[in-house]
Amino acid sequence: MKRQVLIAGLIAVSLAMAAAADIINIPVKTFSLENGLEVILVPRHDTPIVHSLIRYKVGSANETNGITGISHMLEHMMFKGTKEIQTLNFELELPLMEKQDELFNEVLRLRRLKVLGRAPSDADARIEVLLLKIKGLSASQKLVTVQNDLDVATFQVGFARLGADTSFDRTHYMEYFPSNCLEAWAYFESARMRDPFFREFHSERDVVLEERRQTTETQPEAVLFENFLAAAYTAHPYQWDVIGWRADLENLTRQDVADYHRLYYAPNNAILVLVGDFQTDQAEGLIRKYFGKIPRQDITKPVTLTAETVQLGERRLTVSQDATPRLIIGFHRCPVTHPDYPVFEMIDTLLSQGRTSAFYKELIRPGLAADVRTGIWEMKRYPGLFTVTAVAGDGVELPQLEAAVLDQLHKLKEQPVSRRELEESRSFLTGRLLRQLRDGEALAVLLAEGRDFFNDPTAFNLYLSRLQSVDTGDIQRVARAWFTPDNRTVAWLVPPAKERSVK
Amino acid sequence: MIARVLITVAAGLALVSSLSADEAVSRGSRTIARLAAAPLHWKLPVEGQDYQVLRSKAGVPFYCRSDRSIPLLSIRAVVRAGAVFEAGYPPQVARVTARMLRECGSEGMTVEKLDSLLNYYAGNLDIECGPDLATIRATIHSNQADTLIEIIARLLARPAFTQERLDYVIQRIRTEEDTAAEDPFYLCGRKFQQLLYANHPYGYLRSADGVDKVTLTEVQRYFVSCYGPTGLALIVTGDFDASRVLKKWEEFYTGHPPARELTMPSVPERHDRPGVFLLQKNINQSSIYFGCQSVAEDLSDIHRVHLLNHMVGGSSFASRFTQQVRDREGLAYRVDSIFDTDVLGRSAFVARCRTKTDTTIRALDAMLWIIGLFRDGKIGETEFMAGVSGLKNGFVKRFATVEDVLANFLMLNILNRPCSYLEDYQARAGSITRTQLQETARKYLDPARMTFVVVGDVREIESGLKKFGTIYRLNETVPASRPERQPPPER
Repeated sequence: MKRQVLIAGLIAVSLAMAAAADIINIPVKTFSLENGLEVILVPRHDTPIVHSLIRYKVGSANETNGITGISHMLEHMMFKGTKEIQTLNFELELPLMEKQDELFNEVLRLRRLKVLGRAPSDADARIEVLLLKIKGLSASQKLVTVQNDLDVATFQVGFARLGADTSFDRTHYMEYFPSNCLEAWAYFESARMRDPFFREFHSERDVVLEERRQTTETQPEAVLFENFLAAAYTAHPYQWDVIGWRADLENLTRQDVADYHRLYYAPNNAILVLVGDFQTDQAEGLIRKYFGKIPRQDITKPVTLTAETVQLGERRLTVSQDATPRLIIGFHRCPVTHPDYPVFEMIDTLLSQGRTSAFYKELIRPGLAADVRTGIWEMKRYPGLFTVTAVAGDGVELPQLEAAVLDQLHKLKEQPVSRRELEESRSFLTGRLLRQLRDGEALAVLLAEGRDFFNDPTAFNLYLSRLQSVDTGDIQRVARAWFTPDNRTVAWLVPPAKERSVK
Repeated sequence: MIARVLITVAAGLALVSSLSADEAVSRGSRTIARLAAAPLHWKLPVEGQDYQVLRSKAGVPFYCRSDRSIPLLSIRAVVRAGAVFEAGYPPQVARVTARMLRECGSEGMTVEKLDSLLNYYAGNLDIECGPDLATIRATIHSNQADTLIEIIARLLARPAFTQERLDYVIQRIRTEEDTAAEDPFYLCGRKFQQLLYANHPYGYLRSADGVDKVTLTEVQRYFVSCYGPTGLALIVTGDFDASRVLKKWEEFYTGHPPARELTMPSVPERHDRPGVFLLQKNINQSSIYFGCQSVAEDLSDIHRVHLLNHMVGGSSFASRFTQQVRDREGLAYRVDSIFDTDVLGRSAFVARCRTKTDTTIRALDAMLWIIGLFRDGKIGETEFMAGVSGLKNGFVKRFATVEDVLANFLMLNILNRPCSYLEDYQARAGSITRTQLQETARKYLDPARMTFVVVGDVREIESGLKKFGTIYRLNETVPASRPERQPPPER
């Protein structure tokens, strides 16, 4: 009886929920400083904590060949202090850093000669000695640096770990801290926006290379994804993963990073968000005081004009890795600002969300796949990718798995999803949004993203309204338009022993 | 030869600078301290004022606090049903039972129906089983609060376990563990746990060892034993009416397992397994775990353990491990330590790192050198005071969300700690002395007792690793919890 009551109320509740979601009013205060910094404030007093986010509108999509990974490298360098933070005397550090740069430029000269085949016979030994000299100078410099000063100073007053995250389209700096630390936060965040000091550059490069080993080179699926991206794009900078190519990382200079910072880390290329326990007037005053004097910059390349070429046929590749066989199938899709973007999110949900999804019922439950995931990725500013990653079940060959995945995509084109499935998908996405709105950090990200992409911090309302308007015809239309063989890239991961027979 | 000399000189300079600059304070650091000096106007939440604790007829406590800013209801149900309660049952039964709860639905509501309802009402439901506790986390649109209460109450009272779902769950666990072990760091952690805890449930948490032997009867028996009202507590937050929630709960939480006297697991005897255990993989980075079993023996000890771990490797970038291994020497992206005192079994100090193959020994040297500094009392006053301040001032972060607030009080109950544990935490942290810090390091961080596990291309570095202990080779395909009974042969 109870179940009957629940079922009878489905449609009414769904509509009510949508309406309720539409009228969620987040008390947002927005303003801009004269230097172009955009500020979004959301006071919340349920706990004595403030979440902060600074979004710089730069990511790996702003990079070019030769400096791939520089956005992420710069993110690391932003934790190296300023002329006041992390040093006992920055003026003593400068000549040591300049000497390191000079030695590294000689390393680069020798490496270029090697590529040209004109290097002296002892080039490798000379490079090794130069790199050791740099290490020695760096160790000397540490006599006047205060190691991890920013982290220690902020930890001491109650901050959680200082966080940052670089993606394809943006770089985020996130913290949360007790509300009595607001001015301390404004002090150091404005200082490193205005005047970072890129000490410890060469040892930090080693750290980033370790990160690359950790997150990519020793992870079979990450290796597959890196190769997949390189095949899926031929022109647009989405073709490399955010971490960048190893060779580019090894040859980045401190000057490259400083130039990149000057180009993109300007107040007029940033969005600042605070959510939490503060008085709006007090927060605004502090932001104006600390960030207001940072000069705006002439950002000559705010976006890349390199558009991806039209794909003229399916692309395929195979990667050999010691892991369970798996595949990635990807299709180019529209950017986040396109009205069809929520349709891709609904397709994503229909295919892979929960035990009612198509992939769960047709691939996982029968044992064809050990795991299936769909992905839209953080490629939002420019046309990105819709991907399906599937890990083969026991004894299942990749051709069989690929056919099963494609069959489900084909069904989306040919068979309209039911009204019930459509509503479940819509409600799931609405619920996910509501959970984000409740969480301080997730809300900050949503607000910054809305301001960045839609010029409206509360663009989630637009998203909700677009979500409400998606119908079964839209699912079919989008699937037919985008899930085509010519728009497809397929990457297989095959264990070394099997590689030959599959080929 | 020249290169080696230069490396030695550079490393020496780094160590010298690490000793001299640690006591230095920059102008920026002083500014940050000054700007954050105003006292935080915050008091520990009080029951009855800031939150409510209601009890169901069966005695299940509901920790409630409303927040109507977003139309969501959240429920976290915590059950004393983790692996540590498995004595007398086959290994993995706790994990399988928790997974079965999510996969089976309940009498009167199939899992497909349950998922369909959750999707339709913007909800979600996750169930996980940890070392000590099983946790159900769920949210739903607040206008469907009754639905979520119904779903959870039904699941916890009358789940519909079936053999078909059990077979599926077992197969999923095996597959997931196989896939997870493709990550060398995960594999390293698995081997470390197996060696450290031998056949104790903590030893096979990260593996599928024994999962095939779990039967439907054992799952049902375990459910009845552990999932009754005695070991259950709920946290309810969001947009809801507490009395209505309780009323709905009583309506559907019927036919549940009986209330029993709660039997807490016995803490196993300390088990040391010193040695260096190596697993060969053809990759360019070593995964490293090392540590030893420990236990925080009384509450005053706990604060010292927290401080020690924060300063050694627990506080991430402010810790000595990160300062030295990552930022001073550039050897690792992530290096840390864990010393979890909130456990029902026996805790352990665990140090972890990933570094390229040819710096494996150097990273281990640096981490052990740091441990030595703490054991020898060579931590300066400035660094010590920074650690104490961080522990005191960071206490409020435990209350970052409304759910966190309630979880703190619920965990007092789970861990059988008095309210004064939270009330006095900052004062106790502030009263720790340097001598006590050194005593704590000597008590818990004993390299001679430690188990070292390295997964990577160990062929080139094996001889260098001998200085950390006797070398043993591990076989990836043989679960280490089995050979624990017969120690692997020494090379």
